[in-house]
Amino acid sequence: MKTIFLGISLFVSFIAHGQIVLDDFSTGPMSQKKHSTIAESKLTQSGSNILNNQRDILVKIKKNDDKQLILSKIEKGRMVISMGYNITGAIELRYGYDRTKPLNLNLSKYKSLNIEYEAKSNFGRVYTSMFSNGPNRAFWRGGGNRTLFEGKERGFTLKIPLVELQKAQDNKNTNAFTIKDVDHIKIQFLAQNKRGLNFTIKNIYFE
Amino acid sequence: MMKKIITIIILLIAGITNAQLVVDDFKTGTINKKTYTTGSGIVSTQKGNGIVKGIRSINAKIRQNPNDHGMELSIKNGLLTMSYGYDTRGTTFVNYGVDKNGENMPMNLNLKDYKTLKVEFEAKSTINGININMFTGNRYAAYGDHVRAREGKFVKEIPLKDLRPTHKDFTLSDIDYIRFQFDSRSKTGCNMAINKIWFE
Repeated sequence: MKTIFLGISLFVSFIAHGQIVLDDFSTGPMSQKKHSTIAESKLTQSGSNILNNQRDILVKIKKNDDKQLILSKIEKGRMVISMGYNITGAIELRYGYDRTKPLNLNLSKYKSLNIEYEAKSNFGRVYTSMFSNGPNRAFWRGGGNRTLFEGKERGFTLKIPLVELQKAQDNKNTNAFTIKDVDHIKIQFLAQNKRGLNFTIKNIYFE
Repeated sequence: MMKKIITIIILLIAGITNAQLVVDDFKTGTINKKTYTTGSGIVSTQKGNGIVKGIRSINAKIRQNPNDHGMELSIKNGLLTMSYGYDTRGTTFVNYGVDKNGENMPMNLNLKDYKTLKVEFEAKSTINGININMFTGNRYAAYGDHVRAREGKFVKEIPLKDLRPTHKDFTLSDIDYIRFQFDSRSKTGCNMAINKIWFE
């Protein structure tokens, strides 16, 4: 009997801690891309280990006085980004943005969105937004905790608690965002200071 | 009258005491852009009246570049800018006391009245090393340290007394050649910009 209880408790524990992998970067490779002009460029990849099989990447450069490069590539389970000195810009990952194939995720049983880094050079904010049924949006911007966004030489996981998502109210206050039906997700990695931003990500998942 | 003369003398002495010898303000001798991806890059020289003795040479040695992100370097608008991409490891060498071919051309600087070498950074992404060698002929003194990361300007001060001579014939009274090394030796790479180097 004891063994059965132990088995059940392990099973329940497994379900409670199950994961939904958004992207482990093992599929949908991207050859090296170089950007330096003030513009917004969209790149799309498909792969079986990407949720709904499609990832869109937006490379946004708003300011680049020193004409440095943003270099980006995805290979062997890693997305490697180098945003050079004094670039103000962002890398934005988008999932479920094919409007004909919404994610329809029920995330009510999950606690956090996790972003696993191999390393990160310096301070750089991460923003995420999730959408339900069109424009109904909830967002996370760190809740004023700057230390979340510091650089680290060693691997670490940025945990974004789903309870910290804030609904973005529209003019009619009719935002119908629900964590039980998330159709598309975007994650932004921002370089906003003189130091640029270099980082590598290995996995993004809900847990 | 006497009071004014004394004040002027004091100011004059203070001025001499705090005089600067600018090694490079990076306002002249521009480089539009160089990309380094492998091995030892080609040494290039630049001339300018904001450079000590009018000429510098520069090159970079890339030791590791697994993601082909390399290093980009430029000198313009008063800034030496270096962007070492993710996991790119290497060193940038900036040399003074050279001729147009990058060969040694003794500067014969007398630095004995100066206390400190100062390197002003505009910003720096990660902690990484700085190494300095000063030569009297072929005898040299060395200095090495880690330079912190910071968003915004800061000055790395190097007391000249901290230089470690490797031979008794090295003397601050006759510096012929100076070599600066700026490292990127961490996984994160290193983005940085320097706007002035001077003795004070």
